[in-house]
This record gives sequence, C-alpha cells and structure tokens, in this order.
Amino acid sequence: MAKTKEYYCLTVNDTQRIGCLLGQHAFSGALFLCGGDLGAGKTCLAKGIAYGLNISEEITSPTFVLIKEYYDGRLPLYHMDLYRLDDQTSIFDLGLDDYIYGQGVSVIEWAEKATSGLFPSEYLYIQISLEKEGRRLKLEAHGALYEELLEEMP
Amino acid sequence: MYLAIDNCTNFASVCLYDSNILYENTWLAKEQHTTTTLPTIEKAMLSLGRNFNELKGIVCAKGPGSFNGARAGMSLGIGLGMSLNIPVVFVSAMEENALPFKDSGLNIICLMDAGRGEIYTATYQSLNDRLTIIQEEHISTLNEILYKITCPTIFCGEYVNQTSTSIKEKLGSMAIIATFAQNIRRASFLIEAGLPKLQEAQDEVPAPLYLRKPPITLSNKTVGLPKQDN
Repeated sequence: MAKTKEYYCLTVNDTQRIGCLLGQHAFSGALFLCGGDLGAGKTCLAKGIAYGLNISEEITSPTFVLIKEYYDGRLPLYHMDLYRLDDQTSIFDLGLDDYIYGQGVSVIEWAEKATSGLFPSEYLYIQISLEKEGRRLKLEAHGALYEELLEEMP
Repeated sequence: MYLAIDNCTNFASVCLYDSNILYENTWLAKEQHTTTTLPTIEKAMLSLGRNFNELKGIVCAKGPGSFNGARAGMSLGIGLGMSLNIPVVFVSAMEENALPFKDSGLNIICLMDAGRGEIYTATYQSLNDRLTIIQEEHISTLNEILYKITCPTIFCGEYVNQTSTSIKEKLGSMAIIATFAQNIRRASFLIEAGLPKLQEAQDEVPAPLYLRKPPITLSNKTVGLPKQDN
C-alpha cells in the first residue's frame, strides 16, 4: 500500500500553502504527478510549489505551451501539462525524460493521460478533488524518498 | 567537405573535414543546442572562407543521451542534408566515444549518465584496429556493469569522470580509466566513424537511439498511472 496523506483546502490560499510545503521539501529530481478535474486547482498547487522553491517568476498554466521551465529558485522547476495531448506518441515525443531524469523538480499536470512506462516507478501522486466547498488533496507516495517527504509534511 | 554534429548530451561538438580536420569545436551547450550549434557552424564556415554548398555529406550522433538534444542535432543535420541534397548518416555517440581506443586491443565500455542512478552503456571490442560492438547500447547500473568485467577494460565517456573512484575500487588494475579530456565526445571522431558509411552512400532512415522508449500503442484512450511493482 502506498503511503498517503490527505488535506482539506477551503480556499485557494490553503491549496497554495500545501504546494509551498511540497516545494520546500522537494529534492533534486523530485517528480510530482498531479491529477484532478479541470479547475480543481492543479496550477494553483504548482504556484505554491514554485513559491516553496523560492521562484520569483510568475507561474502560469502550461496547458498551451506544454512545458515551462523556471530557473531562479532553489532548484529548477519544470511545469508540464498533458491536457492537450491525446495519444501516447505525442506525449512521448515531448521528450519529458530530459526533465524527469534531470536535476530539477518536475510537476506534471494531467499525468493520468500518460501510459505506464513513461514515468519512473517512484513519484508523488497528488489527486485534487472538488468537494462541495473547497478541495481535497490526496498525496500518495511511491518510493522511499517520497515517503520521507510525506513524513516531513505536517 | 563533410560536417559532423553531436548534440547528445550537455556537451555539443561540431567538426568540418576535407581530407583533414578544418575545424572542430566542443562546448558545454547545456540546454542551448538549438541556439548555439548552427551559429557555431556558420561562424566556422565564415572564418574558413567556405560555404555550405561545398558540403558533400553530414554525420550526426544519434544518441543515446538527451532525447531532446539528440533530436535537435539530428534535425539540424537532416534539414541541411535535405536542402543541400546530400546524404546524412547517423552514428552512435558511444562509438564516437570509444573510437579513439580502437587500436588498444582491449574491451572498451562507454558510460553516460542516464539520471536517477542509471547509466547508458555499450561495450566494444578492439580487434585488428577496428571496433566491434559486443554489447549494444542499453540502460544499466554501475554495479551491474562492473560485476560482469573479467578482463582488462577501458572505461570512457562523460560519466567516467564522476565514477572513476568506484570503478578503480572495484576492479583495480583491470580498469583503465580514460582521462577527462578523452571522456568528452569530439565530432572529429564522428567524422571518422561516419565517413565509410557516407562513402558507401548509405542514406539512412533517421531514428534517434532512444533507450527509454515505453511500449506505445497508438490509442486515444487514457490508461492510467504507472503501475507499482512494490
């Protein structure tokens, strides 16, 4: 069983605060896969992660450009979005490997669109679901490093 | 005149050759292969007073290494090849690395960082001043590679600089470690490896040597997250 932690976020600030904690605890090569419906707050979470990494550039959605890179923080941040990609060949052709096997922190939105085998077996999966009010964030650690990261989280 | 392009890792290298090396440049391109490679070739042409129209063939390194880097270099080579109507051939970056040791009479193992503790590697045998591949490019770990060594072997490639101590500790005098200067790939060796192919006019179908390619079925269905083997 994968180790999990859940958070209930009432406001955008709450979601960003969780992201910020993730950013503060993120390590070189960390892979965060995000899932959740449109408008669930994946980019909002990514903004928090960037803040936690001390990135001062503004984070905007990478839906249309697919990948955005930020270098002015504690670690590089690679922010990707697979929403617009419908077949596995297109996802593969992005060349995500150079990022997820690189030195920075990779945050991938709509990660569920990619087939197994495209990602390494160790990652943190973040599922954001809409509640009547607010959002529920479920963090699922796959691999020892991510379990440690979860333990460091409040 | 022939051109060689290697963009397979953070290091980029280009070479111009016409019976002799006219120009060679190897630099740390990081992620800037697309913005630095062509200008470097253009500047070289200008300083030599030569012209792209004089090119008779192009050799590109096809990987393994950075997926995007290899593609950038190959696209540039293929684009030039198409516009000039000249043949383009592709050579493994590991062969380029191992070629300087072709008359050593030893086995040569090339190591390249694949991230997350993994290594791209290939093994060559030097026999009669020629290189023969005895284990194709694949992904492995340092321990796995070292465990199998039973004869004196040359270790070369960018990753050797970081791992030479571990290799020496494990293998002692059985390991011959290439120097930091030998570990960087140079496009002149790409020319040396590619020229015979160009002269045989083997115009190849371009395909980057990509070792992490997942089994992809062309489908529009989403198939979920990676499975855990636990």
